[in-house]
Amino acid sequence: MATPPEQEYLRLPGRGIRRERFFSPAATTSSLWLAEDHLLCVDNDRFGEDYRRFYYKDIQAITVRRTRRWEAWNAAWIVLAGVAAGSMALLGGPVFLWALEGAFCAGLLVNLLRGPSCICHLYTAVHTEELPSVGHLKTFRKAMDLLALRIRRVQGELVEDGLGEMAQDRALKINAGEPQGALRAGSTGGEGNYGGGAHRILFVLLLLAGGVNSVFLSNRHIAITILNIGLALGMFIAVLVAVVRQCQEEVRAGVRWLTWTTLGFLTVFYFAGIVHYMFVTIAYSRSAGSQWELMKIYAALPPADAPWLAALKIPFISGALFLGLPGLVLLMRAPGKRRGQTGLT
Amino acid sequence: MNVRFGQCTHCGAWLPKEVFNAPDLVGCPGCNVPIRVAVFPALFATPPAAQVPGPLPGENEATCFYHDKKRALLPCDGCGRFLCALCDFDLSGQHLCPSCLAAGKRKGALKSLENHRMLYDNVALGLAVLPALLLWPSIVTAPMAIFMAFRYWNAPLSILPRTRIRYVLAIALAVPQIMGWGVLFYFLYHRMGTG
Repeated sequence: MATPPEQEYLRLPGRGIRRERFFSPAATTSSLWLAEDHLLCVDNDRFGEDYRRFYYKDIQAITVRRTRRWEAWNAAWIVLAGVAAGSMALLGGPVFLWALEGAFCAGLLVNLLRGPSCICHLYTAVHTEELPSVGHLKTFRKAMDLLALRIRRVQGELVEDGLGEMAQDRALKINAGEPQGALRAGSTGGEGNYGGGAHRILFVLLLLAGGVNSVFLSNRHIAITILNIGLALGMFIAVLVAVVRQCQEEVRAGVRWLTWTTLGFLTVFYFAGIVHYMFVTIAYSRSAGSQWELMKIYAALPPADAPWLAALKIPFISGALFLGLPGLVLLMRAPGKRRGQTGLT
Repeated sequence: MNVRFGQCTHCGAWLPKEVFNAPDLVGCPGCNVPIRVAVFPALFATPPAAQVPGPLPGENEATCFYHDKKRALLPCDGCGRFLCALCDFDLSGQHLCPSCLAAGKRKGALKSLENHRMLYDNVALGLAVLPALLLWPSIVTAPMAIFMAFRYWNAPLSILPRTRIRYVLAIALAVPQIMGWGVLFYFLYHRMGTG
């Protein structure tokens, strides 16, 4: 049998991760390649590649929507850099903290340079596909310039007069018929597939932290202080993951709001805690020989002798309960009507 | 969520006409998230009519190999059998019969039908690098990496541009590991012999 000539592929800018699960040991990276007559979407999981071809003659539309992932990552990098800077101020700035601070600042810089994020979908007559490699508007514009040129070369130019009305009319006709354009199962791993795992972990950790701090008020022990530090670290990681996740996925408005509030709440208490710890360090620096002894003194401070500590702990416990409980309740409730579902305007 | 054409991919609201082929992103009326839809002529094209078999053949006309009552339109580019409109599959300019199409897909000869490829070079490199970090598994994985590299050297790589450098690297990393184990066993053997 005659074999067709090898395709020449030209790489389109951008590379993204196709998210099918929240935690995936081998992330699938996705990239786009231009061939003579089709667009090739390649999903690479390190040991194998999956190919999807979209022939230029079949591509009906491409949508791009701005997302808040960029802002979320910027906020995450700023918080991490702030935490590292706070820890440096507290511990005197060992080398690894400088390295950590540098890495967080570099992450922030890279994210700033990548520009606003977006999500891109491609439509044909029979299906809709998310294009994870086009994750930033800058990339979209570059890729679209090349792709649209090839599509127009095959399909010809579109008359712009009355195009909006025609497209609206066409959309109504398509959607009035049989189900069309539904996202291929597992193709996005995005909206609709997220079970709220990161948010659930965050709210459970908040409740745990509230409980542990309640115990801390009556029963002083170094183990509780260490457990508190661990919980604080866990909550910070969980809130950052939840914020990033909710910027990519469909999450209830209430849960969304609670997560952002939790981020602010934890940041405020983190810095208040640092300030308090600094005061304790100054007050007990003579009697404490090492950091460990200082921590033991800190753990053993009775609330009556440390009114600031009580003033910190009580609002923290209340806040943790007020945020954690409604968060878990909202996550457990059945999903309601999505916001913004309006009729044709 | 279900994404239908003409609806916002975030909230599902119907998009206004200004969004279609707009020079920049326009706010969705439902969620106010900036969105843009680039539409192409294929959206307005009428779907192609179903392939109808050709008219009945005359006495001296060729018939389809698979349908002896239908007029042949063209030969298969793979096997040369005469095909009617129903049996002709147009694949990137090639006209193939159903059996050539099935055989091509089965044997991997039709690259435009391939939807998965194993990257043996990455597997070999992974076997040469990752277990070596734990040291002891390399006694098994280093020979496996070399075996993979030689066994699949001629296997098709990715359909994208790619060289065999990973095979070379896998061999270059696995050989010293095997040599290291060899040296270790040699010294252990001699030490036991002298001790």
